[in-house]
Amino acid sequence: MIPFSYSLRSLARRPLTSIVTVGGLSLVVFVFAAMLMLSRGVHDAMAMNGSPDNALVLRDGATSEAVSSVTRDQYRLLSAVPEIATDGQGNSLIAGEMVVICNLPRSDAGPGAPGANVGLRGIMPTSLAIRDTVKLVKGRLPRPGTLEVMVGAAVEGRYEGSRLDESLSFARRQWPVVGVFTADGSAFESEIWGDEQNVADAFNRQGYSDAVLRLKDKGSLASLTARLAADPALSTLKPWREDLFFDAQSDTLRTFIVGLGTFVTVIFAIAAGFGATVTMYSQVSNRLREIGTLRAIGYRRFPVLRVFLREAVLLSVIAGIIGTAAASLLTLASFSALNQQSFTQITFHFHFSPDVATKALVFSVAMGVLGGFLPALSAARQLIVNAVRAR
Amino acid sequence: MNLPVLALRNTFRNRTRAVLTIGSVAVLVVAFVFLRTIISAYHSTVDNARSDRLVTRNRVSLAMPLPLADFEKIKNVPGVTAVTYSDWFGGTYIDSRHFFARFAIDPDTYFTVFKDIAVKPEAIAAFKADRTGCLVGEGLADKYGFKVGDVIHLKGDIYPGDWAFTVRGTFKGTSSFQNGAMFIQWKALDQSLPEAERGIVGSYTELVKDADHSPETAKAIDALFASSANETLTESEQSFSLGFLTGAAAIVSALDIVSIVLLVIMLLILGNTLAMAVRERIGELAVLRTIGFKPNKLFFLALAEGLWLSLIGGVIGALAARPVIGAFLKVASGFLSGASADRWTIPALLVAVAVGLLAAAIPGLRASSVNIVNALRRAE
Repeated sequence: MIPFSYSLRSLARRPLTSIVTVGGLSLVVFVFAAMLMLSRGVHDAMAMNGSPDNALVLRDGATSEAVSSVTRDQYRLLSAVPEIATDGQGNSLIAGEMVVICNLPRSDAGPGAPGANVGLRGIMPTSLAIRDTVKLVKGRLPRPGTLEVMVGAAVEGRYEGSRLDESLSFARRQWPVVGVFTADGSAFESEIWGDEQNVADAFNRQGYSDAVLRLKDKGSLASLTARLAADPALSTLKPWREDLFFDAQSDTLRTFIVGLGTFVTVIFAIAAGFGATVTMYSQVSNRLREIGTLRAIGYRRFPVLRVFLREAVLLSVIAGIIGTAAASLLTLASFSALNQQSFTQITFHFHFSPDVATKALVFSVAMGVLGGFLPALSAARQLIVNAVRAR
Repeated sequence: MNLPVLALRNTFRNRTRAVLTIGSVAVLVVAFVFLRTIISAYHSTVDNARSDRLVTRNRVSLAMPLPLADFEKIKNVPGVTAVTYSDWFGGTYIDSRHFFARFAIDPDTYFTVFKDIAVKPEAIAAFKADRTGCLVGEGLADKYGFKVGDVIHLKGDIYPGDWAFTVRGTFKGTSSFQNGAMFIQWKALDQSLPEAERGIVGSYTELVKDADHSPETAKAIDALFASSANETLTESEQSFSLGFLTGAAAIVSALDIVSIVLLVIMLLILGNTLAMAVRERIGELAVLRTIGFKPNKLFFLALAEGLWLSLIGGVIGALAARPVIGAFLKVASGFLSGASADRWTIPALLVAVAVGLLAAAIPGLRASSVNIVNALRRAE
């Protein structure tokens, strides 16, 4: 077998070509990994918003919480269904919530610049027991019945008056910010939470947007669905498993990111694959005499093919590592976009995982193999007589 | 044989390499046109906004309605020549992946204010005559093959229920977003609501007499409702549209960066190929120098090779971009359905050629500074 160091030293002999090829390939790997990370981040932010143990009850046909409505009468009937779990004190774990959108000026933009649409959630005290991923990290909880609000970590500082002890101004009222919360990086962190009654009053709304409840056990969702359908007063409502509902909310955005990312990656892969092929062909033609010598001293065709393929793969592995490492730095960045379906601004994070690294490396090696195969084949097929005579 | 022809022959001396390089350039040009087209589509609502139009919405957010009663008051504001109102209907067509904009409008006033929408008077008349009629943008009609007489079924969300609208005509919108939109009658929507909830609209759009005085007009409108339950925010159509763009700012800048990265990759690939070509022909270049070619001629020889590679690749890419991107836009959703790749093909070709010339610079310098003695010795 031809020693491994032979391949390494061949690459090192033409540093510029090797660097250019690795540079091109690692850019492709970077974009591929970034796309995987972002799509995973969007999924995380939305699906982790909800829990599989909770049900969200909305008006049938409602595509987002903000366009749904549940009347107070319906809510009262809903609170009595047996599918709801209870806490230690015997209280039903159900909350009516009011979700509205308000347009807030960004703190980094000048006056007159367009604001961003931020979700405002009016909650009941039980909401916090049901949404157990929500954790207060600064300040205190807003007191029920007041205009006090707490803001998600992605809201804090992003809009005017959104820091702790400042106050937000919308709907002709001042809303003091008394707390900041996190929610495992989910989209709740892009929301403002306040008192349900005050939010409804400020926005001239009656009733609730939807109701969230903790299910008693696994089978409860099915029996709740059947119960609502059978009850004429509640048949206009539809329960969803909370995590599935929120995940579906990001469908359009995720499809867009994945579709675009796939397109860009494919284009990049073709171009970079061609680039690698060009490099490897030139390696073959420049080293014909070497190839002839290797064949003359007894190496057969297959080891020669392998040695050139190995060089291509080596280039792609280096590129894969560089590209993946660079992409992993993106976890420090966040990405804020308007989610079309909920019409609110949501902050996403790039999610790096071993799975992303594996996929990126496999992708990179695949490019190397595809790009290197034809040149390696042509190296192996050279006639010894011609090859040793080459300059 | 002059220089460009010699360069062309040189380009194709290594056929595999030339084909692969040209192929990469072509693919990258298609991708570049594609990304720029999407970015333009994002910007098109802002670019096509007119300075003599104002938009009034609820100060809290666009999702909050305004009363229809404001209509008459706004109409009487000095400087306002026409007013219309519309409401976001929302709803779902098939499923959430088939997103496009649906507005409930007032056909009597809408096209006076949006005078730049191209729509036949007969289409407006047919639309007016049918309470459950609708007009569709040309981009939308193309995508789904909607024709006059077709019935579009929607499932309501903001306005619950199952809705059916008959296509009464098409229009050509001013932006790709509008060109992919659907208009229904506001009256139809209003009458589906219980008596107590009727008479609300999403926003008002005003045409002003003098664009220079539109800030004053905007202030005058907002002053009307300053102490009412529904405070308003009136801004130019441009800054209203900019609000949507801001939401997508991160996506747009990501696309911007990727489109630049594409060019960098193109530069690397072309540069690599040209560097190889010069390296292989160093002996030949020395011979050319010996028979009297000046260094700058050899520089231009390399430059011309870069030009040929990028020009051929660019032309193929520019020609392929239209059908490829057209096919994509047909299945794309929302604001993209009205977009067109045409305006980016020529700029993309020029950019590719510029990248080709840039890529040839370093190999060209190497060619022009060839050391005759050393090179000839190596050629031995």
